[in-house]
Amino acid sequence: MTHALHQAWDATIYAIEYFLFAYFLIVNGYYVFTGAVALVRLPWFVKLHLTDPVRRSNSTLDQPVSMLVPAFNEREIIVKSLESMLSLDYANFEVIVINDGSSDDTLELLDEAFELEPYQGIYRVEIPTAEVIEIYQSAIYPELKVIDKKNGGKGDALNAGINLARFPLLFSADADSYYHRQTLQWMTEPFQKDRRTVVVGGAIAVGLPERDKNGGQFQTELPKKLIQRFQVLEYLRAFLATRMGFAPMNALGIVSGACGLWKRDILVACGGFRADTIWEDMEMTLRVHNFCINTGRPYRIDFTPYPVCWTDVPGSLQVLYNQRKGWHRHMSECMMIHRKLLFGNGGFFSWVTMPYLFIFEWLAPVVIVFGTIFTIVTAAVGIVDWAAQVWLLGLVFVLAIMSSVVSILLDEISFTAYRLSSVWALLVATVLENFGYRQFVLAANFMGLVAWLTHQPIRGSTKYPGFFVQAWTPKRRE
Amino acid sequence: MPFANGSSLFVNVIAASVALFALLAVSLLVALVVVRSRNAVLRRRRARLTSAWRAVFTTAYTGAPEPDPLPRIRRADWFTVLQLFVQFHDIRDKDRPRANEVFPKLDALARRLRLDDYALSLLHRGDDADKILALNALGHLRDPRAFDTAERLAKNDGPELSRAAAHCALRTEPEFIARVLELVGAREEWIRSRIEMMLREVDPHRLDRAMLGAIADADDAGRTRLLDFVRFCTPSTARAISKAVIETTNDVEVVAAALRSLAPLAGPDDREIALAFSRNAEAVVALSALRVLRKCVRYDDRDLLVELTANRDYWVRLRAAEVVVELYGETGLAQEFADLHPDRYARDAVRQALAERRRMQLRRERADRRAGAKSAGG
Repeated sequence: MTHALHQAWDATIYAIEYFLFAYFLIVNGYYVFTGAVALVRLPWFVKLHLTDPVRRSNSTLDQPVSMLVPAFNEREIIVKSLESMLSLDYANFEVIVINDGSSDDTLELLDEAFELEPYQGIYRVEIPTAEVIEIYQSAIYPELKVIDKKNGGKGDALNAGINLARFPLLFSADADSYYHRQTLQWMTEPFQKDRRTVVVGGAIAVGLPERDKNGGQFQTELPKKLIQRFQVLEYLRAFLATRMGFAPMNALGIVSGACGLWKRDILVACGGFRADTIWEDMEMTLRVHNFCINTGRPYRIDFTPYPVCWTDVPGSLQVLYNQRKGWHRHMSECMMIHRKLLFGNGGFFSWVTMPYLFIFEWLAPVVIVFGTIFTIVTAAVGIVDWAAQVWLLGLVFVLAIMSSVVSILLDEISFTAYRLSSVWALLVATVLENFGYRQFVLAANFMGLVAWLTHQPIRGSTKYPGFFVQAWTPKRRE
Repeated sequence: MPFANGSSLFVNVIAASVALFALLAVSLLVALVVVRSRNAVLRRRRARLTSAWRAVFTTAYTGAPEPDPLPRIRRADWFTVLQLFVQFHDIRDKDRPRANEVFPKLDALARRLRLDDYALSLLHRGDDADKILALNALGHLRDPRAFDTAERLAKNDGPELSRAAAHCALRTEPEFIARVLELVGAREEWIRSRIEMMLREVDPHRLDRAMLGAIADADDAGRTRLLDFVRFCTPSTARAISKAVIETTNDVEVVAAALRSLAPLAGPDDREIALAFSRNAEAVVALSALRVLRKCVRYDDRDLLVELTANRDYWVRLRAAEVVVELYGETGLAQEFADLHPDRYARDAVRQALAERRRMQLRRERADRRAGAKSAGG
C-alpha cells in the first residue's frame, strides 16, 4: 500500500514536472514562430515602403474615415491632440470626440479652442449608450464634432461615436496618443487591397516622436525612466514580433484600441463595443472573429507594421500595477465570453492563436506562480535536484533576453523607430527586466485574475500624465 | 525521474540548451550591433548623398545651373539616387502646370547619369521592391527597353509589382491602356487610389476608346470595378458609357456603379433614369439613383421626395433629404418641407441634410480663407 502510494506520488510529481516543462517549451515555440515570421516579413515591408511609398496626393477614391476619440478628464492634452488629428493628411475624414462624463473642464477647453456650437443634425441610436447630453460641432473645424454624454466607459463612448459617425470606416483613437500625418493613408490601403478586410491594426511606439535632422523619418525619444523602458521592450515584442507573426495567418487576437481602423458595418453587426467589460479592444477583436466565423462571412483582420501611433506608458509602479491588473482582468472576461472559439471551427485562429491566448497568456500567471512554488518546495525537500532547477531558471532568462533582443533587432531592420543611443539603453533593459519587472507584471496579472474571479472592481487610477503632457503644454485659461 | 537527478540526461540537455541559446542570444546581439552600426553609417551617408543630389535635381525645377562637377555616385549609391529621381517625378501640386518644362530636364539629367541603365539592370536582377523602383524610374523615362519586361510583370501575382509594371508599360506605350483596363477589371487587389494616379496620366480620348472596349468585354464584377474609373474619361463618353450600361444590364451592383459614375455628369436629360431607379427595392441602386436625381431634381419631384424621405432605409432617407436640400437651397423651404412632413424620421433626415450642407459650406469657406491667406502671404 505504502509502495503504491509512493509510486502514485512519484508519478504525480513526474507528471507536473513534464507539464511545466512542456508548457515552457510550447510558449517559447510560439515566440520563435512569430519572431521568425516577423523576421522574414518585416524587411520586405520596409523595402516596399521605400520603393513604393504611399502617394502624396489625396485621392477622391479613398474611403472616408470617422475618427472616434473617447475623452475622460483629458484637459491636459485634448486640444493639442485634436489639433494633430485634424491636420492628418487625408482627403475626407471627420473627428468625433466623445466627452465621456469628464469631471474636469475638458469640454470647456474644447469649446474655447474649437468654438463649439450645437450640432443641428440627428443622432441616430443604432447602438444604445448612456445618455447623450448634447452634440456640438466646431465653427472653425467643420469636420470636428463633440458628443457630451454621461459616463459609461470607453466602450460606451465609442458606441456613441459609432452612432454619430457618417463614414464607412471608423478609426478608434486615444486622446493621449500622437498620430503620423499619413496614418489614415497607410491604414486604409489594406481595405482597398482586399475587400474582405474588416479591421486593420496599426503599430504603436512608446515615446515622443521627433523628426530627424533631415526632416524626414520620425525618430522616437526613449522615455527616461527604466520602468518605461521595460514597457518599450514589451511594445516592441507585442507589435513587431507577435502581431506581425500572427497577422499573415489572419489570426490577430487583439487590435489596439489606440490605433485600429474598423469597418462600421461589422461593428454595428456585432452590436458595438461592450460597455460592461473593463477594456474594449480585445473583446471587440475576438467578437469580430466570432461573428465572422459563425456567420460564414469571409474576413481579414490585418496589421500594418508602419509605426503610425506614439503613446505614453505609466511611469509609476502603482499606475502600472493598476493598468496590468486591469488588462488581465479584461483578458479573463474575453476568454470567458469567447471560450467557444478555443479549438472551434475558426481554423488557425481557433487552433493556434486562441490556445496561445488562453493557455499561455491568460493562464500564465497561475501556471508560473504554481510552477515557481512547486519548484521551490520540491527542491527544498530534496525531491528534485537544485542544480537542474538552476539550469532551468538560466534557460528561462536566456530565452527571455533573446526574445527581447529579437524585438530590438526587428525594429532595427524595419523602421528604426528609436535613436542609436536608445538601442544601448534598451539592451541594458533586456537584462534588467528579468530581475523584478517581469515578476511585478506577473503579480499584477495574477491579481487581475483574482479580481475577475472575485468580481472586484479595479481601483485606483490608470491615467499617467507623461511626455505628451510635458510636450504639449495646455493653453492657460483666463 | 529526470528532474530529480542532477546527472541525468535531462539536466545535460537543459545545460546544453542554456549554452546554445546563450550563444544564439550573443549572436543576435552581435548581429544587432552590426546592423545598428551599419544603419548608422548608411543613414549618415544617405543623408549626405540625398542632400547633394537633391540640390542637383532641384535645378530642373528652379532653372539654376547644375553643380559642376556633379557629385560622384559610388556603386552603393545608385539605388538612393534612383529613388530620389523617382521622388522628384512625384510632382507637387503647385508645380503640376510646369510638368512639361520640368520633366524633360529631369529626364535628360537622369539619362546623362545613366540612371536608365542602372534601373534596367535592377529590373532584371533585383527583388520585387527593386523591380518596382526600376519600373517607376523607367516609366518616368518612357524607356522602351523596359516595355517587354513590364508587360510580363503586369501578370505577376503580387499586387504592387503588377501594378507598377502596368504603370511602367503604360508610360512607355500609351496603347497599353487597353490591357491596363482589362487588368483593372480583373485585379481586385490593386489599390484604387493608385489606379486613379495611373489613369490621370492618360489622354482622356485614348482612355475613352479603351474604356468602351474594356467595359464591353468585362464580366459584371469587372464592369462594376471599371465604372469607378469612367470619371477619368471625357464627360461625353463617361455619360454615354454609364447610360449604355444602365440600359443593358440587370445586375444590381453594376447598375448602381453605373448610376454612381453618371451622377457627377448628370443633367436634365438624366432625370428619367434617376426617377426610374430611385424607387428601386435595392437600397444600393436607389442611393445611386438619388445621387443622379440631386443633379436634375425639379419641383415636380416633391411627391417622390416626400415618399423617399420616409423610406425604411436610413441611408435612402438621408440621400433623399440631401436632394430636398439641393432643391430648395437656402430658401428655408427645406425646413418647411421637414416641418410639414408627417414622418418623424423624414424630418430628422432633412435636419441632418441641412446640418451637413452647413458643414460643407463652412469647410469651403475655411478652404477659401486658407487659400486667400496663402496667396496674400505670397
